[in-house]
Order: sequence, then C-alpha cells, then structure tokens
Amino acid sequence: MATEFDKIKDLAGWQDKLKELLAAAEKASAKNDADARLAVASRLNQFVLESSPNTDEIVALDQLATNAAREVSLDVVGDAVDRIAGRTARLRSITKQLDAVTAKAEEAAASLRLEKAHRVIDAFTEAVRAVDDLDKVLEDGTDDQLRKRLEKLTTSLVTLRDELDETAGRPE
Amino acid sequence: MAGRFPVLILVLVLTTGCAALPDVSPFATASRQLAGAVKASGTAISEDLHATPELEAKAKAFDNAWAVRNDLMRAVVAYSDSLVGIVKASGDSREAARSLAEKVGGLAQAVGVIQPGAGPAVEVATDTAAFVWAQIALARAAASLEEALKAAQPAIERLTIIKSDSKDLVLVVRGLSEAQRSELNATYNEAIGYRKDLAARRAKLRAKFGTLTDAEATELKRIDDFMAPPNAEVQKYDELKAKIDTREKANLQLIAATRDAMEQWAAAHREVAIALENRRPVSTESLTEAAVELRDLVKRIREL
Repeated sequence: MATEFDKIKDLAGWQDKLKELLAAAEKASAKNDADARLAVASRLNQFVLESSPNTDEIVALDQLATNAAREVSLDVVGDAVDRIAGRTARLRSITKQLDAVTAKAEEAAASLRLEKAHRVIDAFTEAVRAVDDLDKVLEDGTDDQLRKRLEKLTTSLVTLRDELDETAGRPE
Repeated sequence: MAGRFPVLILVLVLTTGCAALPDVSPFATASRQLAGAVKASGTAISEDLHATPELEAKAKAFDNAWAVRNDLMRAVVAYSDSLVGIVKASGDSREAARSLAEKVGGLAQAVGVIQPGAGPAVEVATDTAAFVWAQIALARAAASLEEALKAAQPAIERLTIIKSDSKDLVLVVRGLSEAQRSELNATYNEAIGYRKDLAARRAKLRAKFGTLTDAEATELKRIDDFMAPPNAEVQKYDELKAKIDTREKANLQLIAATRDAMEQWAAAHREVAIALENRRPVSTESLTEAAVELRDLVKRIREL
C-alpha cells in the first residue's frame, strides 16, 4: 500500500515532510479540530516508523515527531476530559430528579402493600397484649414484674402513637 | 346490604379495567447492564489516564466526573427497580390485604369484638376484602406507575447528555491509544530502523545474486545472523502494538454499545409509558438484546 512517505529519499525530504506535518498539527490545533489533530498525530507516528536510515539526524527528527504526536494526542484527551467534567453538574441534577421520582414510587408500592396499616395493627395488637399482661401481673405479680410490664406497656403505647401520628401525616 | 357486595365488586372490576400491568422487569435488567457498562468504560479509561504521567490531574478530574455518572446510573437502577416494585406490590396486594384482615381479626378477637365461632363469616369477609383491595391496588398501581413514568420522562430525555459524553470518550480512547503508540515507536524505533536498514541491504545483495563477490556473499550470510535480535524486538513491538489496538477497539465498541443501549433504554421508557396508557403489552426484545451485548462487551474489556 502506497504511503505519503514512499517517495522520500534523503534527509532533506524527511525534514520537509516533518515540517509539513508540524504545520498541519498547528493548523488543526488552531481550529480546535480533534479529529484532524488525531489524524496528524497518527501521521507523525507513521513518520517515525517510515523514516530511514537511522542516522543521528533522522533519529533527531523522529524524536521531534514523537514528542509532537504525543503532545497533540494528549491535548485532545485533556480537552475531552474537560468537556466531560463540564457536564457533571447537569448530571447531578438529573440524579436528584430521578431519586425524587424513585422515593415517590417506593412510597406508592409500600402503600399498595398496606405497610402502614400493617404497622398500625401490629402496634395495636402489641399494646392490647401489653394491657393483658399487665392485668395478669396486677392480680398476682411482684413489684419488679409490675414495673417491667408497665415499661412494656409504655413502649407499646409510644410505638402505637408514633405509627398513628405517621399515618395521619403529623410530625413525630 | 349483603346483596350490594357483588354489584360493588362488579363495578370495581369494570372501572379498574382489570388489565394486567406491563412487565417492567426487562427494563430493570437493562438498567443494570447499562449501569455496569458505564462503570466498566469509566474504569478502563481511568486506568489508561492514570498510566499517563502527564495526565495525572486530568485523571483525577475524570474520576470525579465519572463518579457522578456512576451515581446517576445508581439512580437509574433504583428508579427502574421502583417501577418493578409497584408492579410487584400490585401483584402481592391480595395477599397483603388477606394478611392484614387476618391481623385485624386477631386484634378484634383479642379485644372481644368478634365472638369465637364467627370464623366462617370472618373468612368470607376477609376473602371479599382481599379481592376488593386487589382491584383497587391494580388501579392505584397503574396510576402510580403512570405518574412515575411521566415524572421521570424529562430527566430521561436529559440523559442524552451521555451521548455527548460518548463523543468525548471516543476522543479520549483514540488520543490515549495514539499517545501509547508514540511511546512504543520511540522505544522500538532503533530496532525497527536497524532491521529496515539490514533488510534493504539484504534485498540489494540478493538482487545481485550470481554476481556477488566473495565479500558480498559473506556479508549476505552474516546479515541473516544480524537480523535475529532486531527481528525478536520487532516481534515484541508487534505484540505490544496489537495489545494497544485491541484495547482501543474493545473500548470503542463498549462506548458505542453503551450509547446505543442508552438510546434504546430511553425509547423503551417512552414505550412503557405509552403501553400503560393504552393498556397493551410492552415489547422489550431489542432492549434485552442490547443488554446481552453490553454484558458480553463488559466481560471482554475485563478480560483484556
């Protein structure tokens, strides 16, 4: 396959080719054309592989071409990363929007599962049991047992009140 | 009063439409695959950025920016799961109502509202309540699902920002690969040049075959020996270059597939909303295919 380097025969030819490539790199950078910059970087890399013989002068040209190719490529990368970072704030706001929708949908699912009603009934049942327990202890229990049952009853009633408050939408 | 129940149930069934909700689970599966692909492409690019000393600051900036993308995908997955949650809760509503009714019955008995022996009547009431609640739940689930889909749609439309990200990710991958090739060329330039010079000399001598002087014939023989070390070096170069090429190709494929899957995902979201509105099934076949392709590409990237 023919390449742009095939007809170059001597040092002067390689020097001219490198000048041409560096000028193209500068032009692409000035236009901020990422695709053109990467295309030139690829040509500069090819220059290094094609240039010969490996005399000191040619090796020096290769070094220039390598540095230029790397610089141009990394500039393209850096600019792209800057643009990606620049869009981050907008993505954060989308995340917030979605989280809000999710919270509402989860609430709807919980309501379909009758979660609040289940919790209220559980709390009621627990409170009734606590009252029953207290009744028994009042008949023939010790003071310590009575204290424990009262504590249990208080806890049950507080839980029930909290559940009812939450169900009615009042702050706890 | 008892005679009104069947009428009430019939009215409920007719007004709720009694249609099943769309199956949104493929949508949730695709969301997970999408989140995995976004994470995998970010990780692969971050690794390459951190491996380039000149880009250390950019690598950190990229990591911070990509963490926000990963968090967004976490929100996308949670949102999709919440849609599945609504559909599932609607399906489980009968059981939830039955269990609640049983609890209420237990409580009523404990406080003495229901006399022992009223079992069969309570059971009938429980079954009826569970059935009625299931119909109400279906209607409420459809409304909640519709509401969630509508509320999320503007955010989903804005996800097209990811498309712009894809364009820049392509540039990052191509730029990094080109920079890696520059470095590789610089490392192996001497060996490649030496081999090229020897090959040129050998071709020249071979062209003179039959008219070679003794010195030239000896030189030709020695060139073959001289070429062994640069040949080995060039082979190493070829292997490393192939690695760069393969990684670049795999990364570009993953970016393209993620962008396409994101588009299909957004389209599927619209489709679910329309299907729900028209009470018809959702076709998620292409979305599932995209999810499978993404899963395979992520696997390949991880293996590189």
